[in-house]
Amino acid sequence: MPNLADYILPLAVLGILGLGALKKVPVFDAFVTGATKALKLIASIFPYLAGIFICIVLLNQSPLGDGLDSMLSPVLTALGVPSPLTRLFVIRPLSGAGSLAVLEDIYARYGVDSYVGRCASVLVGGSETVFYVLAVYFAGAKGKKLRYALPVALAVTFFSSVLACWVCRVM
Amino acid sequence: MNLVFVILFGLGVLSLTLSDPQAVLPTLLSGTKQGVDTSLKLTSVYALWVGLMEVLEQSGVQDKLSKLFGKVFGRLFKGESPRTHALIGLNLAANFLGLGGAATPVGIDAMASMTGEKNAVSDNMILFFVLNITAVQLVPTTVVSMRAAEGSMSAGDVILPTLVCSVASALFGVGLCLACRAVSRKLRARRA
Repeated sequence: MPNLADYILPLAVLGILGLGALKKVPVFDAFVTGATKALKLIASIFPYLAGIFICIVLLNQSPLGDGLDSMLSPVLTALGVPSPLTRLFVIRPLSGAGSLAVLEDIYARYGVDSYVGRCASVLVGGSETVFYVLAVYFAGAKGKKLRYALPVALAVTFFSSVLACWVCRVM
Repeated sequence: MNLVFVILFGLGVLSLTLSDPQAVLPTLLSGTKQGVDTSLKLTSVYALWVGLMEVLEQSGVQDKLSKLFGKVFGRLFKGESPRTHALIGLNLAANFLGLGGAATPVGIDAMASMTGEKNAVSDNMILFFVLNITAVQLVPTTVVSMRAAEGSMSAGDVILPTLVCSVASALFGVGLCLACRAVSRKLRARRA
C-alpha cells in the first residue's frame, strides 16, 4: 500500500517536466546541461569524501572508537541517555550507513518499540551525518577556513541527540 | 578541519598500529574505496536531480521563487542575492519533503553562490550548513521504513518526536550561530 508521502517524489518530477514543456524549454538539452554539471560537482566533492571516509573507517576499525565510547558513556548516562545508545551517539555525525547498521543492531537487541529502540529511531531521524554534509557542502564554497562551523554543528547534534531521549520519555 | 583531520587520522593509525599493524593499509584503502563508491552512487543521483533542476531553472520558476523565499529568508540571510535565497528555499523545501537527492545539489549551488570572505567561509554559509544538519523533515522515511521492516507495532510513532526534536535543534542551531556571529564581529572590531 503506497502512502500519501510516496506521491511527493513522482509528482515533483512530473511537475518539473510539465512546467518545462509548458514554458517551451528544450527539456532534453537542459537535462543534459544539468547532468554535465553533476559530473563537475562530483569531481569537486570526491577528494573531500576520500579524506573524510579514511577518518571514519579508522575510527570504526581501530581501538580509538571504543576508547571514545567508554569516555563518553558516563557523561551521556548522566544526561539521561541510555548507555546502549553511546555507540550510535558517536557514529551518527560520522557515517550514515554506519549509524543505520548500529540502529538495526539496537532494534534486534532491545526491540523496535522499546524505549531504547524509539530513542535510537528519533536520534537517527532527527540529526544528520555532520562530517559528510560538511565535506559536501563546503567543497564548492568560497574560502577554506571553516571558523566556528564544526564546533557549532557538533554542539547542535549533541543537543539534538540528548533531546531525542528526553522527548521519547514524554511522547 | 585540518586539526580534526590530523588528530583523527593520526590517533587512528597510531592505535591501529599498536593493535594490528597489518590492518593499517587495508583500512586506509577501504576508506578511500568508500569515497569512490559513495561518489559513484552520488553521480547517478545528482545526474538525475541536477538535470531536472536545470529544466526548472530554464523554465524561469526561480524568479518567482526568489520573490517568495526572499521574503522568508531575506532577513536571516542578509546580503545574499535573490537567486541564492531561491536556492536556499528550494534546498530546505526539498529536505523537508524528504527529497535528499534533490536537496543536496541545490544546497551546494546555494553555498557556491554565497558571498565569501577572504580565505574563510562567511557567517551566512555556516548558518545555512547548520540548518542543513538539523534534518528538519516531514517524515523520516528511512527510519520509519526500517521500523516497519523490523515488525514495529507502530512504525510511524516516531514521526512527531523526530519533528519536535529536529525543529528544536534547528532553533538552537540558529541561536548558536547568531551568538557566534556576534562574538566574532566583536572580536574583529576590537582587532581593527
